[in-house]
Amino acid sequence: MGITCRGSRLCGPAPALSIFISYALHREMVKYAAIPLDCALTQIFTVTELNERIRDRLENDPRLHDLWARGEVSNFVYHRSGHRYFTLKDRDSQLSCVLFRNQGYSIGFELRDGQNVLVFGDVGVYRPQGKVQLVARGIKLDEGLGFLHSQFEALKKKLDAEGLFAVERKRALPKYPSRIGIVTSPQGAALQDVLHIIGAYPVQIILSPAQVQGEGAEASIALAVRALSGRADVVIVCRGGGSAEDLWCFNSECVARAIFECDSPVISAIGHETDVTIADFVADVRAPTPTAAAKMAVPDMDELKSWIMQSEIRMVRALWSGLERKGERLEYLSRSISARKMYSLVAEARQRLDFLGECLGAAEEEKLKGLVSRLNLAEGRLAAVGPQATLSRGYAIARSGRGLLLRSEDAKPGDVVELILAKGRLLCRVLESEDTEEFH
Amino acid sequence: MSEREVGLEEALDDLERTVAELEEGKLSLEESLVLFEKGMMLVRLCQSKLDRAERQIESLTGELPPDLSCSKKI
Repeated sequence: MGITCRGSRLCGPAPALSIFISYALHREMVKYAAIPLDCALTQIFTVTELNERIRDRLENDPRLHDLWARGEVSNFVYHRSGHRYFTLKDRDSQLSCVLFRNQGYSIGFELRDGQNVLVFGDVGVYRPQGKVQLVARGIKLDEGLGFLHSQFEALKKKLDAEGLFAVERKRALPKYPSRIGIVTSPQGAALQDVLHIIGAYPVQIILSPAQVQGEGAEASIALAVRALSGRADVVIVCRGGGSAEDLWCFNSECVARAIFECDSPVISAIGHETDVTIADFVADVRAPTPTAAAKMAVPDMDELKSWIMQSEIRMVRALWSGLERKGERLEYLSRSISARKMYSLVAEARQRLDFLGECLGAAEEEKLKGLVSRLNLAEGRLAAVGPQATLSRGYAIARSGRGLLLRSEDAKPGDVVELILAKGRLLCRVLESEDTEEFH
Repeated sequence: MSEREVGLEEALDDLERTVAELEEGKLSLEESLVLFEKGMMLVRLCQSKLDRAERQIESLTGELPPDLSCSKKI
């Protein structure tokens, strides 16, 4: 279907169609390429008729009546007729508004450009100009966010001056917490996110339920934070995304003070990454989301398990290098430690390395194989230098209360000395002490 | 030292110190053997704590999300 219209003059006092409308119609015609060539067969509107048709359509739509619109006042004109004209705009769009003289008395304040207002009225069309406009019947200042914002700034300044945001008082999070307190709504998605990340990490989770939006939310959150006193190693205060109004309870002084006075470090995660609340400033750590907060609170299980494995490997490696050191081989001889214990530990270490090799990737496994063979070597050397092999060939370890007897002057005649044999030991008394050549 | 008395945090910290001390290499062989044995005990303790993990959730008001079965009021 197409609309054709005829006008003798497209501007001036006579009704005009705005460029926008004609442009839109033009696009329609291009889209539906079949333009009826015979104008006589279709209805031809005058501009006035068409504007009337548009007006009828808009003014009969109940959705465009008795509505509230929010925006900023601009291009305000107080016409000498007593009517007030302005444009209501937000970031992306604007709409003409008119407040007729007879409605203007009731608004109770002076309209100015830049004011944030809520306009109550109906959408209409100003026929002479074909202009869609909002006919206001009431206007009030939008104290909503503008007002809240100034409150926010004032509170932020006050608490900052008191030192509630001081960097020096930010506490470090425990590396391995055993109790995590969570302040949030039990029904919220934020709790699910946090629990999902904590997963199987062995930690006691203490939920401190709070109402996180609406009337009474502030007191509820503050109470829930205080209730965790002495019960948690770290506290997560969180809430999923929402409108600025929904998150507003986290900008209250009582919540800020409860977080400040909390006896364990607090991680805040309120709304999305771009939402910053007073609670975030006071918290010891601010997380962009509840998920991120949980990741900060507990170590990653896989990383932790792999770290433990690495610890085993490092210990075996350290032990092995100790065995290799010659100086310590002598020390080993000088103290009667159980050789059997030594061997069993080394054997165990080797077994563990085999096991770890299976758990780790191929690259790690290669490293471990090297380690295992070095360990075998060390074990062999240990056997060679260990007392058992030597003692079983007929040697004995001689020692006194002062230590090993290596030279004749280590014991005087009359001293009691101990001989450790391959099996058992003897207590002997020295009869004579002689300086002789080394035994061959 | 029984398993119940030592928390995971304590065990992991202890393990970290033990490994560092062993790696420093200043100990006698006997001392390092004692330490090694202690370290391996800690490794097993930590692993068992991590493997045995079960979700434990308590609510200060008794109110819990409906899908969490193990509820306990404290």
